[in-house]
Amino acid sequence: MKSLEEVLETWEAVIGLEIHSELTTLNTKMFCGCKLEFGAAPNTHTCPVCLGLPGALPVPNKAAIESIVLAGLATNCDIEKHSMFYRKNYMYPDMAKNFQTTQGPIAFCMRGHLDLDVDGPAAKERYRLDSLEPGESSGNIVRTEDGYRAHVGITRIHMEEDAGKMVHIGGGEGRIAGAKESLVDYNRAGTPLIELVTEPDLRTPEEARLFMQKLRQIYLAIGISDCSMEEGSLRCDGNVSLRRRGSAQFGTKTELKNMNSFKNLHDGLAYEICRQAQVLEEGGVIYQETRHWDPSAKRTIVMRVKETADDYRLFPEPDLAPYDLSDEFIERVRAKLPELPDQKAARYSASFGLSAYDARHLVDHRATADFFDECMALVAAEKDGSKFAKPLANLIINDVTSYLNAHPEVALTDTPLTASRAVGLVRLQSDGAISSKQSKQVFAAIMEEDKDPDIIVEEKGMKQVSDAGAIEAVVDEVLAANPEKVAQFRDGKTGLMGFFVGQCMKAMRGQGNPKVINDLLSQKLS
Amino acid sequence: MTEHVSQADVRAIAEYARIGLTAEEVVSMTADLNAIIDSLAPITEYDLEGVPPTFHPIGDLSNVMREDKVRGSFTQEVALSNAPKQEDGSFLIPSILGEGGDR
Repeated sequence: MKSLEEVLETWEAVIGLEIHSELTTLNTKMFCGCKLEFGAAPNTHTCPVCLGLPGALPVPNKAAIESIVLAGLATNCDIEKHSMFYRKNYMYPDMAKNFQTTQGPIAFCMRGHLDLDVDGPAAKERYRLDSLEPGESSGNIVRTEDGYRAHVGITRIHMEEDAGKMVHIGGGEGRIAGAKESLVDYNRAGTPLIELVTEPDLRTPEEARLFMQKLRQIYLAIGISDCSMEEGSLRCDGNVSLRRRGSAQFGTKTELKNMNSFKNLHDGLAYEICRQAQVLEEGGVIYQETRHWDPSAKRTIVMRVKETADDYRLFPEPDLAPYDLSDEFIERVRAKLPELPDQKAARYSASFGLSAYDARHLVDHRATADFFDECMALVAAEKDGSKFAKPLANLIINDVTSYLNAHPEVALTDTPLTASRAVGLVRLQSDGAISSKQSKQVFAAIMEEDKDPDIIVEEKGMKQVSDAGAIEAVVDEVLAANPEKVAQFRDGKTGLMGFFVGQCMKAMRGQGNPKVINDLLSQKLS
Repeated sequence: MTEHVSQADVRAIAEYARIGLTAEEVVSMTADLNAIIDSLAPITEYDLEGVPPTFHPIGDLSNVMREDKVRGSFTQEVALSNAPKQEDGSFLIPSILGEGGDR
């Protein structure tokens, strides 16, 4: 099979995503007062409504409607005041009432978009990006200095409910193949679920991954879901088709499921694009089918072929009144919008002079952004407090992030690193008390020993000597001990500078401030 | 009587509703359904251009919502009390091939 890069030379991939998010931060289900709780004993959170018992009447959860409106406002959607719920009929035991309550042609949120900043290695998947000059646009992208910005349309976000959970027994490992019986747990049935559908505006697996990451950041920022791909509260399906470069017509698409991590989303789409290219290049036909990404086998497998369109017999849900949202309702929700990741990044650049790259990586995670805000608040009263922004950003993006990656079970707020310790650490370095190398050691010691940076520096005797008087004595000693080298240096062998610095450092057991040593040496040797 | 609904339509609808119909029942059901649809014919005599569809018989009802407060649920025992078979707190059902809806 050809590589993705080779395939994208000839073919253009057209990708759209369908992203489901459970509103896990709510207390109750979508249409009844049963408690939302992940991992509870089976069938302990059910009632006549979510078990679909005859005569039960659903009543929508107001907080869920507020959540979806908030999601729509945060993703630049138009909020539709008039919409209603529909029944999507299908017979399957994971939904006891034999239909899923969802929305029809008009959803609460329509016509939104997100702008993606794609740079670094992620931008390399884009076909012939180099043919564009910064500022120049092509289709839905604009070339930037270090990549491009893509405008990705959001068709809609609609409100619906999740189904129950089934475990198949008798087959191998919970799989349906060979299973004789199934266990059904309806605790999850009726969990408020919002589904976002994008326009087919994505062109590379990286763009799909970045879209999903950005959406997750936004949902976390507005607090509507815990967005756990592992526990299934954030799920993504991808629709992929190929067309020859230059063609305006869409090819036949396949739907890809089971991409339950950002890596799987990228790798699953990349594989499917390459697979389709191979089929098409060998003269084959792509069938409209649902495929399942198998990360261990690194391939996609057919789940079912859609011979006919599914007949869900969608019709307005007669048990639920339609919506006529007031301006007041929408404005009350809008007032709850927090600062969104993009706005935060823009503020970091404008107020603290951080690069777009640094600002974006700080807002990658709400925890790191909050931590950065907390640190900057500590130095806000200082005259030149913003000078700490760059070193703090470096500390967070590099040291803190790699620590958190190495300890995935630990939250930043549970580590020994407090905002005041982080500020203390960068202050030690900016005052010249410790070198950048020592700063890394102090960071490691804070995490390990749970002590303040000043104390660590004191205890380990790391304090860098910046006192010019003390250093000058050492410099004089070193020069006096090496008269021949001094003469050679003055004859033009300037490469000996490193030797002198090294000798001074050695004499000071590594604690001399290299900048002061350098300055004094240059002064005395000129 | 006009044929709005064919016998094939009736068999398809019965399949959706998981209702088993005999050949005779398909014939009589087809006749009944066509008669019912015929009885709605007078509607076509009105000019309904621009009239929005009425989905709900209850006139101005809208925005019915409840607060996000937990109310009591069934105990596991009650939830499972009508289940023909159960196991480990779950409904035990015969295995159904295929997949559910698109969630």
